Amino acid sequence: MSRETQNAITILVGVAALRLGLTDAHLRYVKASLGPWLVVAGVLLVVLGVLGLVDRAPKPTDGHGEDHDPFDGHEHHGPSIAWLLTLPVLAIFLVAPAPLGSFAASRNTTRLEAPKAQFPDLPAEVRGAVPLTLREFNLRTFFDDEKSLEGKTVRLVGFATPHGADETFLTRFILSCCAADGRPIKVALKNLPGARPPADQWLEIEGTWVEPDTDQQGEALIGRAAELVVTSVRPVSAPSQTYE
Amino acid sequence: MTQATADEDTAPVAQRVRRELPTLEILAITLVAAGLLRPRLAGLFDDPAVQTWATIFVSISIQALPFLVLGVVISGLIAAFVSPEWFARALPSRTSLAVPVAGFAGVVLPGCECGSVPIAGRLVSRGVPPAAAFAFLLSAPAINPVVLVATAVAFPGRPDVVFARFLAALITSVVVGWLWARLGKEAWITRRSHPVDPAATRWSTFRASARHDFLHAGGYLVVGGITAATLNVVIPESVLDSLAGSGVVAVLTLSLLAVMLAICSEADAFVAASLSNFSLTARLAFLTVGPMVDVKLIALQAGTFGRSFALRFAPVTFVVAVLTSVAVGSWLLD
Repeated sequence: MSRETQNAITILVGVAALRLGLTDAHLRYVKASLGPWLVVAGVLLVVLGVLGLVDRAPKPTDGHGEDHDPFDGHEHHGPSIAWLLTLPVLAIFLVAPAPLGSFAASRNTTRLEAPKAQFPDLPAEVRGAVPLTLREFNLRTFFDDEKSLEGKTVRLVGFATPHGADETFLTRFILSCCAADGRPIKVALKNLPGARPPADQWLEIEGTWVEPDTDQQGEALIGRAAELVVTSVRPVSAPSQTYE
Repeated sequence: MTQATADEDTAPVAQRVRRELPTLEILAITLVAAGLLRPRLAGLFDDPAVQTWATIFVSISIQALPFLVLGVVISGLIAAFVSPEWFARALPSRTSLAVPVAGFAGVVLPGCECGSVPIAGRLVSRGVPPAAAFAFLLSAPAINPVVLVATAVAFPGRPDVVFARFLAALITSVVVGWLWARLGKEAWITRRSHPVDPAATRWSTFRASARHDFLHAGGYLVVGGITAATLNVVIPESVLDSLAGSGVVAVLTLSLLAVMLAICSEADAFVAASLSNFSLTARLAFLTVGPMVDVKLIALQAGTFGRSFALRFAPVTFVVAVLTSVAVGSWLLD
């Protein structure tokens, strides 16, 4: 790999990092807090690559492969493994993979640790329903001794994950760092009116809480989903932050 | 491409001289062709399994990038500004003492595991005893303050988990360092970091080293990302719950899971916290093995130190990490 190519690939990776870090696109793959660091990394890589291209004077060390005998007199190639760096760049610009959706959700179990502190008061109602995250709805369903959800109408936003012959889960993913550690949170929709929503369709659902038949034991919720009796369903477009 | 690189491990010097390929032209043609074929290319990713694979592949690559850049910047600074003599003075001259000092020095490197591999490679090339550099390589991703704070957040009210993690990682890194000092052979390290040209200015040395380490470690990171994404999509998670519990099987299951998932050490505590149908000792093994041995790290280590190194180093580290976790876990946790 020539020196120009090494610099070109460095710049390409830097531009891809900038493109993700400067737009909402990074939210598909990593936590929001990583965005500024992607910008920093992108700027450093672009500067490194551009300086390498501008600085034409041949340096004896430049362009040496790592596995090179320093005396073999061959000046101008770098590590050929670096070609692989074009793959994530091409994926980011040409494929732009979607955020985790119903396929990943149906393959992974819900895992939620029980909250260590008391639940705070429920948020205020907005347009006649309490807006909640799927995570909080699940935690309050299974771990709230005060039964704060009793008699409440709640509003949840998530995507549809078909399950079995006729069930539908409303689903969101929780990320700790990146999509590789994403865990799905599910709510089983009961009495869903109308046609069954297609997989990955984003929905805004209002409904009433159902008390679970069995108490949740232990310190975590594994493989269970809270239930919601649906009173209204509205297809919406995907939010820019699809993860909770 | 990977085959060609692998062959260089063993090829005699004379055979390595290759014809100059017009690589810049190849790169340009590849990009233009990919752009033109975009509709067809995107069609390949319509299948939800392939789409999920691509999402996880991109996210592993992207998540690691800032840490990798931090690592190659530090590695470049070491190449340009820190002389081998400084390390000789800073570290105890007896390797048996240098290993724990270097292991403890891992506290100062914030971040996750991708950054520490190029730094360790640079340390070896600057005359640091490999045993000490490896102790640093293993401890840094697990015992730095960022990771320990993340662990404390993931396990609220359980400072014993944070302490157990710190202890298990430190002990593992020192034991593996000592094992290398006693049994390791220099000949297993078939690759070295890009040499520093004594005639070049410091600034150009910094740039040349940083760029080279980035391209090199980055390429191997992509190999690791492809592997981890594939395992993530292929292995059904239901297997996991059937192996849950507190025995030896649970410890080995989570240790192997850590190797296959290649989760960043800043996030693994959150995953461990959610695996609550496993014993705390098994989860400690997950937290100890993950930052030291995973598919992404094995690829990076093979790229930095050579394949014959990685084939010995990774299994030994795995065994030491599991045994240490069981010892520390049964003492402090379960």
